[in-house]
Amino acid sequence: MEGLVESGHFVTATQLYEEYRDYLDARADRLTPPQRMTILYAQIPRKPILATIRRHLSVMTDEPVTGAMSLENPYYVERPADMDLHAAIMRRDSIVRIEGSRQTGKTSLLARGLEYARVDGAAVVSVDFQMLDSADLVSSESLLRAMARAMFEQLGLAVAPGQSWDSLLSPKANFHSYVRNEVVRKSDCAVVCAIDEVDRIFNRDYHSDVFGLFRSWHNTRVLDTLTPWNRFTLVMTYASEAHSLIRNINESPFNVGTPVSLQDFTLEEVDELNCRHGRPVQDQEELARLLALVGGHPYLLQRCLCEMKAGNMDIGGIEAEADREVSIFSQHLRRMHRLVAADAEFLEEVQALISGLSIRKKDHFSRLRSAGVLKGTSTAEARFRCGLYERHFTRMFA
Amino acid sequence: MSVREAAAFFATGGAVPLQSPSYCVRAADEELYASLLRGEYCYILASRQIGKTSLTARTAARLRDDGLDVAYLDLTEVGVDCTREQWYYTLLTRTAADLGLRNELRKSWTSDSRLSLLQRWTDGLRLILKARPAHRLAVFVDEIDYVRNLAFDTSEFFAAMRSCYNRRTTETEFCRLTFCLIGVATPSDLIEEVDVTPFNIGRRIELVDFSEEEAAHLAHGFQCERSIGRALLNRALFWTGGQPYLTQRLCQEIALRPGTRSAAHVDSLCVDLFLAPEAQEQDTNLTFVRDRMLMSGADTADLLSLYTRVYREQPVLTSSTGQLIDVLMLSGLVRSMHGRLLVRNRIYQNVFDSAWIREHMPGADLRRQRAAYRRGVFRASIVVSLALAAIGALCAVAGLQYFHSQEIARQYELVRQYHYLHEIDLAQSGLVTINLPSALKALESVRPAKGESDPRGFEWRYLWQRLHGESVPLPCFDISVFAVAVSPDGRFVAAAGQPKHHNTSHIHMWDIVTRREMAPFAFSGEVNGLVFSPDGKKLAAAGGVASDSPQPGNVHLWDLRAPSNPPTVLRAFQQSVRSVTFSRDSRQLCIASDHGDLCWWDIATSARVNVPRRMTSVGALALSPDSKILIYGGDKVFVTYLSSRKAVHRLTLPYDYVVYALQFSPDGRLLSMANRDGTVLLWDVKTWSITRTFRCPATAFSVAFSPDSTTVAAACWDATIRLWDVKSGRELRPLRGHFDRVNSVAFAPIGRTLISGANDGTVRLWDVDPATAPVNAVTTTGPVCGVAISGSTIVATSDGTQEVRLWNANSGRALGTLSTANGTNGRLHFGPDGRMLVSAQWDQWIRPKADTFDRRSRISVFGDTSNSATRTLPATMEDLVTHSRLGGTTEAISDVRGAALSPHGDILAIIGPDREHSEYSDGTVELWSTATRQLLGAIRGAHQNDITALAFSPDGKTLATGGWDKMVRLWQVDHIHGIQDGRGRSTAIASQLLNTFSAEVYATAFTSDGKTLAVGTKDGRISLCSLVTREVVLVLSGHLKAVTSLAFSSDDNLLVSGSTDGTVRFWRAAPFSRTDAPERVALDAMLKR
Repeated sequence: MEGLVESGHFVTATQLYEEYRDYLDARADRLTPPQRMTILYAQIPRKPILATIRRHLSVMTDEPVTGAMSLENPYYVERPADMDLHAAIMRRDSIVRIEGSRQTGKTSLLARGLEYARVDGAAVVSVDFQMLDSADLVSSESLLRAMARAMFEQLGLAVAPGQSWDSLLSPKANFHSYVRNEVVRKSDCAVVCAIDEVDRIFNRDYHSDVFGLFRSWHNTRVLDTLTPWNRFTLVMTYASEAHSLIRNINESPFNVGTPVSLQDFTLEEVDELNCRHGRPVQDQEELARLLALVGGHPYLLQRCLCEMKAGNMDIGGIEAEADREVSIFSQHLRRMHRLVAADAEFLEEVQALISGLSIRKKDHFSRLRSAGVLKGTSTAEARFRCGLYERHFTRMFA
Repeated sequence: MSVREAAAFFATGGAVPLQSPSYCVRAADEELYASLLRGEYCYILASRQIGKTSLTARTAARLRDDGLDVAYLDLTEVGVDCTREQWYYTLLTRTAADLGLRNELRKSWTSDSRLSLLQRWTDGLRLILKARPAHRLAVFVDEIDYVRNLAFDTSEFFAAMRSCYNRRTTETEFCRLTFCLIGVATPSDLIEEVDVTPFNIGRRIELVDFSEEEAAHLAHGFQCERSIGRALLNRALFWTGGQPYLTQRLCQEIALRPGTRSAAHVDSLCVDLFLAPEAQEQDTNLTFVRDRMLMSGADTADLLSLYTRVYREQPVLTSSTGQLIDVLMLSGLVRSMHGRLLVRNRIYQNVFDSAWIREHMPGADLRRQRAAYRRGVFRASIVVSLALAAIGALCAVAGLQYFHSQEIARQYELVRQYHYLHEIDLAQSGLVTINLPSALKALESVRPAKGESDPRGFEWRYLWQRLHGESVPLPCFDISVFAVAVSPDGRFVAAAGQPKHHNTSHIHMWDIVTRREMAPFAFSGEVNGLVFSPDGKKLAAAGGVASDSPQPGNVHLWDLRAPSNPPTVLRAFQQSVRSVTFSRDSRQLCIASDHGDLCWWDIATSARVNVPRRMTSVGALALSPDSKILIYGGDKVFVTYLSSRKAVHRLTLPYDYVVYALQFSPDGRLLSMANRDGTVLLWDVKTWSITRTFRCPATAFSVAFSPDSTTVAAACWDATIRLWDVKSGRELRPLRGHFDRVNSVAFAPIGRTLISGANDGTVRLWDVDPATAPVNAVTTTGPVCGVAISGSTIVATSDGTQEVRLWNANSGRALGTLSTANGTNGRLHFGPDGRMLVSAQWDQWIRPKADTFDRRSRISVFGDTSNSATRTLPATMEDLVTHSRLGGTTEAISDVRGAALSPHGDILAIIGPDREHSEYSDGTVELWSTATRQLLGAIRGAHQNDITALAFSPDGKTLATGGWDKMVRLWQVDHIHGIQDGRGRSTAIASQLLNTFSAEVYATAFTSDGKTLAVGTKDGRISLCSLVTREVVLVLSGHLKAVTSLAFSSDDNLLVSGSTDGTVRFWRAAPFSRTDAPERVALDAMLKR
């Protein structure tokens, strides 16, 4: 444990201690860990990131999860994206972008990536844009100040943002020099800054301004090998449908950096998930029926498997559920429905698809695909992502 | 070096790292460095991802090494969400970032807030310069176009930079200061005032794509032998044209796949990375270019039109000023070469092709965007007519200015051409949707007025033929034709029909030979029967109004000698009159009503001869040619012998039989009967027994006998006319051409002309001689690889065996086969005189004499003496026939892939492999003079892959080449004799792109009027492309597999196509002489002639 703490593997050390303590506690003789370990444990810096994630994560139960899955959740199935993210963090890539449509496990992946970074000895800052006040989002100045504040608090920095802020300089310049002088330069280890749900500011008119700054950090790194920015990694998550709304790619960091894209589960991964749930889906025939309904959609799969595991319904029941107005899927479907119904052009395309025609515009297709409504490689091959969506939209729009 | 490391050799996305070995040093590097060292202001304004930032970063590092102070300001780091003061102050502090002057600057900045910001900014710069005496300061300002996002005007910022320059004369400090501006913008985007702009004192650094030498070291990243690496790199550059991002990206992919060893692999990588539909969506550079084109703020239609001109290689001069050209240049899609704009590279050429242009051309520009025509047909017509009107007005205004008027005339012609394309489109969609009147109207609307040029070509006549079948139409639009009749002398055709939503029917009459039409007669109500009197003097129409009307059924009788007189009206019945017929002496009329009332009328007295007798429901009525037998009936049929007044005889009919038509044969021996269920019965009049039973697929509504009583025709409601041979009982070829129910048929009394009328509103004349029936397709033994046509009748095909087959184009009958010694797997050509057949392997020359052919000795062609100047051809064509060897060389070329002989026989073009890169072929066409036996020139690299099609225009001035890159190019070869360099190396032949087609081009053929080029593609389509507008006018589909060969007949009335599906198809176009519309004259005038 000492070695772990010294080498900065705080989480592992914490886990080790807690496991040991619980083990001893469970014994009949009710021993406690040695005092040296307890002191060490108390000294381990509690990074606020854990709190952020924990707050965000629902408690691990057999109830299906709607938010992210906690680090201990045994039902988390690793995908190739996990490896990509770990590799990128290990390489200290300047910008890592986690993208995927809604409810595909972005935050869960991010949590695991940050855990990995922490184990790897990096200082971790996590800002969840979803947690910011609306007052923080009013202007780029308030947003950047909020981010600086988060860094100050989470990293335990010496200089508060208010102290270094110069009203004569532009907000970006201020933030730039704060991160550069107070965070990166003064840290002797790598700094990983995570921004979750970055799409929250996509509809703000200053978003390209802020992203331009991130992009310039990336360029600085490329052009100056000795820059302190080499120690700085920015990890962002966003829903891919929101990304496609960003038009000006020149000022966005979305064409630089390392993309980590979350895909639907493959057959093997679905199998693995089924195993971890204790095989509620018993045979290939049932599996095929489930896949026909929800495909490899991570959230829907989890949801179905949980229901089946709890014995609430069997595969037939789930299929029947798909045609009901109020069902276990209704919350999810409502969101997809809103997304499609809000845009007259999307609506037209979806109606065309229902009536057996093909999608008219490539642009619409790629946006609907990134929103997770459709799949396929070209407009001619466009299909609904899963049978559930097809049924729902046919019922609603046909 | 591992694969990953090899890939890391290349840099994609963002700037190229300073240490990266893949950085390519260009001429601009030295220019920028030297200029800044001299203290010149510089600016680099160019499109994205061509290495601006990488270049400046390197230059900055070099200058720093030389001891200069360098400030690198990235405007995106300053931001736009700030006040004016914050912005300038941030810039200033950034300039002095590493000089430790922060406090001094702050003091100076805040000391006198009354001064203007720019004044304080300049003061700050002076302070920096003074604090670092003897140091020179270079300030790089990157992403300069970002200033346009700022809330305040920044032209003063540029003015201030210029004033720093102007201060050099008075304040020596400023001599040590220089600026370099970098961005994606034009100077005029950033500052408009010419007087204060720094751009006209600075030096513009042009960034051009990598040349082969500059990029040569990229091959080191491939980890393979030098020669292979070079070949791979060359192929990569072939695609990217040296565009930095695309080149790096493609090279990285090559390095990632160590198995990449040939150019073909590079091609497929290129497809995966950039050309595949999904890749086009994802590649950042392609998305950038697309956004830049479609969301530039400039008028997209204008921008795309300009790009279309560049894409089609029409001259667009760089020097022509205009914002559009700047926008186009900044998108990075085009480059300038010798003052002309070209598409930047082959990747862009493939991605941003004509289909892309069409897809994104906004609806406002309907004239060019033909795809929108179908959706907005009416709007389009309005636009076109407005354009025509506008240009007409312009013509009037500028009538006196000769030059001007010529230009206007040219534009007028162009508009007419687009109008023509549009109407052809409409006609096509009319055919597809079976909207015949609109299709006909579209075709008719492009007939040229007197003195105008005729835009119509093969496609128009083809569609006309499609619309009319083999028939000649006598159109009476908008009227469903219920009945037709032919006058006894065979001179006139009459047809009755009712316009939609009208109570009055029209009866039209035409001269059968001249097809001139007379003004129509009117009939109040619906016409059921129409008949000429046997003496030809009267025309009777029988019918009535709808049954709920109080007006009774009636018969109108016109005197054709005085057609303008009103008709005699016989008010016969309370019900609609169903049928009418004249007695043989033309004095009496026999009339039958719907309810079976039958009576005779005397024409002279207009009085009833007998009291109507109600017999049965009557559908039809017929009088035998000798006027002895009257037969009538509906669900029951009765025979009355008039002479003997014998008792009525009832025919025994099959169950559930309802007769719609009755007709005696002209020889009086047979009676034909048409029935609701489509059976046509032939009765023997003597024995009243059924001799033949024919079946139509739908209701037969009318029957007719040919004058020689050998053929029966029935009008069928499946829009066809069915014919049978009476003697053999065999069904003949059905006549197709109507688009709706055929209601009535009649034979002309002489010859074999059939007249039909249908619900589609047309009356058609048909020649029903089975001997002259043309065929549409013949099937051969294997995939057809060559077709040729001599005159308009003899068609030759080759199908990879050792035989050439000859066909009669009209009958589809095989005329025989010609054997060759070693197979003819290529194209065929008839010689210029139409008598000589040349097979593509050039091993056989055949001279047809009538239908017999004598075989000549085999000729091996074109010795390959690898580019020696002595390669020669035989002196004349005759020599070719008789010589067994050419030019003293013996090596036969087995890989001559195709050849074409110019119409005058003076130039021979052959497709050969590209010998320098024999592994893959860019396609080479060699042009030989047949007279001097010299190589005149060669076309190289015209297509991205093999050239597969070759054709000379009928005037011999143009050569069309088609390739696997789906493109067809036109080459001007008329002046080829003048520019001979003996080796065919550097001869420049001007070319232009005709169009890009739906699939790999396999065959091309010109029409002899030179208006149209037919292009056969791998997907089995034949596209007819206008040579004037370069648009695809018409697509012929029918072949199931690749169209490998095409030939037009000498009169352009027939297009023959051969395909690997094993069929030869004949696409027929009506000759112009047949297509003229009949003119309308008064019947009096017609009768006088």
